[in-house]
Amino acid sequence: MSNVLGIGTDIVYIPRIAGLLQRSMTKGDTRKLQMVINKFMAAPEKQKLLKMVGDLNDPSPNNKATAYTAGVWATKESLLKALGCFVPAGSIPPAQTVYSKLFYKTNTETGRPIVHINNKFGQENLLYNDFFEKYINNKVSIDLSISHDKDYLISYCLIKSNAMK
Amino acid sequence: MLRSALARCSARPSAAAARALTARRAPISAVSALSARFYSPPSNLDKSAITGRVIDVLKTFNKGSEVAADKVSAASSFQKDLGLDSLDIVEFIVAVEQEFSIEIPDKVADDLKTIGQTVEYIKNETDAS
Repeated sequence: MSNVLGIGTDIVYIPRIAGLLQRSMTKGDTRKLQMVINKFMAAPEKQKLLKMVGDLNDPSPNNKATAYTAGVWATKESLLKALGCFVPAGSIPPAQTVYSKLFYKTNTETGRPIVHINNKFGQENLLYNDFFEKYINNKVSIDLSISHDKDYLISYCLIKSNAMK
Repeated sequence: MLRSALARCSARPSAAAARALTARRAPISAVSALSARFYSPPSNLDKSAITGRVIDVLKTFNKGSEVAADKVSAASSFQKDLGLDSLDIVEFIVAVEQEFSIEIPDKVADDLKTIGQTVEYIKNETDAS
């Protein structure tokens, strides 16, 4: 009997992300960039990205800011797809809310990516508290794997139920 | 009432966070409640002007070949007709927010699937300029 609830994957063409960052940045002015990343990054991720100032001022496909942004985007997309495997469509919060308020990604010391669930999501977004309590809070754990090769990055996530038999 | 709510809020992390919190919860106006505007009337722009500007926004970042001018209309669906995916739509929403100086809530962004719906939203639900 499996406790897997959902899986999701996403592939990103990294130069697209570089283009997005280029169009969002003017040197020294991060306002438009902030508007863009607010749509899909949670606070810890935004903080991490905005520290990569040097890379952001020159967002080529090869630098860390681009790779990091691509990884976060792909992670959020896979998570949303995985949610769709077990949460009824009408119950899932809006995509941008899921991307920017429900989950965030960090890395272990060995570089392995992990997904954190914002424990206060229900309190901070009362409209979606029912969804949070019914499907997420203390109920699931998430595994994530990411890989990249030159211009492509792929993410894969798996959501499992905590209810063990 | 607003000032006392803010005073209560500033006992928390910071005034800036309190402002952001209050602004986000303001149910009616897309603009921060601190601007002392409590009701936003529909935009004074007319629909064709809005449509023209929305289409221009699409052109500035679009993949290029996909948006042939004669194919784009109010009924054009972002995903099905214009070939935009979720990343494109995030960028599009931000570009529209900048173009019209509005803020589009997450729930609305999810529901805007065509140019026409976007124009309707801008016209009826915001005080776009």
